Amino acid sequence: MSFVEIDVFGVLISPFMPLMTLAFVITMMLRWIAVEFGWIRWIWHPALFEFSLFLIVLTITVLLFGSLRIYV
Amino acid sequence: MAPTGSITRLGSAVTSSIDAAFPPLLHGVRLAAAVSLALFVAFYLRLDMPSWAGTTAAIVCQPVVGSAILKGAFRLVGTIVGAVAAVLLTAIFPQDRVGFLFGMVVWAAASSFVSTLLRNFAAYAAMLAGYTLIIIAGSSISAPDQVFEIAVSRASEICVGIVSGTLIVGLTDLGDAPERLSELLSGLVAETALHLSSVLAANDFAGTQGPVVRRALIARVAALDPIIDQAAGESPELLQRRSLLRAAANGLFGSLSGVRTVETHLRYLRADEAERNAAAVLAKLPSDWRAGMPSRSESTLLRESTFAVAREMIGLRTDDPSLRLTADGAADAAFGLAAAANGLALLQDPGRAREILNTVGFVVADYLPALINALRVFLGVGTMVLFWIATAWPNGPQAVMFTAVTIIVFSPMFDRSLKAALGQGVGTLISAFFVAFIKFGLLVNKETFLAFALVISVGLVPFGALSSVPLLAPYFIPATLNFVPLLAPGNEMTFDTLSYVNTALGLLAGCAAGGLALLLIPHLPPRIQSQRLVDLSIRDIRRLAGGTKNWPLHKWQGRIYARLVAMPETAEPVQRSYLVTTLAVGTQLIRLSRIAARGQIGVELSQVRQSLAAGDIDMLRSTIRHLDQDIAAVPDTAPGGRGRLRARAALLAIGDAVRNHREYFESRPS
Repeated sequence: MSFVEIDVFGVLISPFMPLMTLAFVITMMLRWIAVEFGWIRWIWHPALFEFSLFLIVLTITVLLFGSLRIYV
Repeated sequence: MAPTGSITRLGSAVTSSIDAAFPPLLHGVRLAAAVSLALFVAFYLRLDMPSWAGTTAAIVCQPVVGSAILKGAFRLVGTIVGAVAAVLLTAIFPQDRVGFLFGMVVWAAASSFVSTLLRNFAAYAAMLAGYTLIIIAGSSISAPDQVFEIAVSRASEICVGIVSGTLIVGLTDLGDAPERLSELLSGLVAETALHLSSVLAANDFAGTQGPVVRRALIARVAALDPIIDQAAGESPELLQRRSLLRAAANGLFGSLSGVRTVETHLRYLRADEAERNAAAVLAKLPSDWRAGMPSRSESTLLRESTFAVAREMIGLRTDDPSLRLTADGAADAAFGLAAAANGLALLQDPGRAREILNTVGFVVADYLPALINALRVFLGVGTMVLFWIATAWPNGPQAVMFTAVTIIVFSPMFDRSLKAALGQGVGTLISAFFVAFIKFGLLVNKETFLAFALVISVGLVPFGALSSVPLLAPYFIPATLNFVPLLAPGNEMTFDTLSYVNTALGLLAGCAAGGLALLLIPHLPPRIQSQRLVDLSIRDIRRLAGGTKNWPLHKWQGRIYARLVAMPETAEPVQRSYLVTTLAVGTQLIRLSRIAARGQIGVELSQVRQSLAAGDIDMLRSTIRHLDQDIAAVPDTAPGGRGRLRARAALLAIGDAVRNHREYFESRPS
């Protein structure tokens, strides 16, 4: 698995930045679903849950994009 | 026996002292942990100025919890916006310092304007966008060709601080705002219901204490607003469905407006007629409304029973417009209580709370306070920039940064901002002496990060603990925030006393300039602020009556609710009363127009509208009398009898309201 910087109009951006943004958007969508279906009510510590969910989603995103070799 | 009793008393005194000291100490430990974590990450990443990471972590670590990720995300967005603006501004004004500095001051003022208008997370984001640009500009002004690297570096440091602070606070504190809100809301629902039944059960309708009780209740409903924000920040579900909580508070305003309509009407009726009307409506109210409402655990039952009361009031069969008005007023009160009970259900049993269709949306009560805040930032930061240019002071950029931070952070506190700014000066002085002791007395020769973290905790834990004590907060919050910039931690720590004194001087000058700006350009006095809200409302009712504005009912209510919430705590009770009366008159006018649009009245309303728009109360009352007679003259066999009766009730309500507050409806905005 390897990543390279993304060139945005000559500015090199770490590949981790868009992955974090994507993971954040996915986390927010999952959170919205959890609230809509009332699952969030079963969570003891919502903030801890959100953070853990974000880390899981981020890890999956990084592994997935790494294995797809999109940034290679 | 005596020694055992003394020991027991001593034991309980010690236990209660520990109980009282625990939350502030916990806050202090949390603050020290957040700052240490931010500095550790910043050191590890070898960032240029780790102190910004620590400072931001301390700013984020306020004793207000928020939904960890979202709140942090908003702050990150604000920081990134500020960083991008810094780069763009440098690109727009290459080799043009005047243009760049002017743009910087305008940006800071605009951020302050927006952050005053917005609320909660979005307000934080706007604030951060404002001072991030100034922080970046402070370093990049001397090296504009390196602005991108500097922007990335400063933004990274600030982001590290935001993430560290947000994580530590969000993960270690559950908060109790939803419980507090639930308690306040259930108390207000019970008292409003009791207020309606007391008004109806009064012996002497002309001499009731109703207005006094109602004004106190209105002030308490307005005070729910910040707690709703806190509760939404603590629970993802409340955040996503916060419109229900706002609707609950608005429902209470609507309910009190309904009670006002009932009471004002009963006051102007003949005693026997008032008694008869009140008895007819009172008979439809559940008995528990008179003795306080059902307990908190039955919020959904409460909502359903309140809806049932409202439906019963609307369905009350009568051909007397006066009784119709009394029943409609009580129905408004019951509908409002049902909305409040729905909010209570969201807090206690979220699965049973119902969604609402018409949300009020974003309404600005008055733009002037935000404009004054923006002007203060423009003049305060602008003057400090000029002072820096004129004196060529090496620590000028630091002074400019702290002037901006002081004004932008403390301006939205309104009447508390001056005290906070004065506290900022005292707090910075306390911090300067204490940090000097820590830096030159304890930190020298400490090689490991663990030793460093323990030493800074010696200062941060007590500062953090004292900053959560309300009486000491104005002094110790600034002391806490300025702790890290004064310490100036770095991978290679320098222990130069002259440089420390210069840094402290720059920081103190910035805080003093910020305080001076708050002193010289004060907020609107609460008296003028509340008068403006009253004036804007009378202007709006005239625009509504004159037809220049055609707000639908929920938009109209939203405008007045926003003004009720914006009323300063020290506003005259009668000014809140004016707003509630305006709300009622506007509501009746919109209903009347709807009935007229359906062609159920059979007469022209334009004269009522014109005389209300012109503030001609004698003409208005005479027009209402004639119109009422005209509508009454329409034969009962003509279709739309119920609509005509409701129209007559609405006309009566408008007549009562303008009679009750004649001076207000005749007044010209000052």
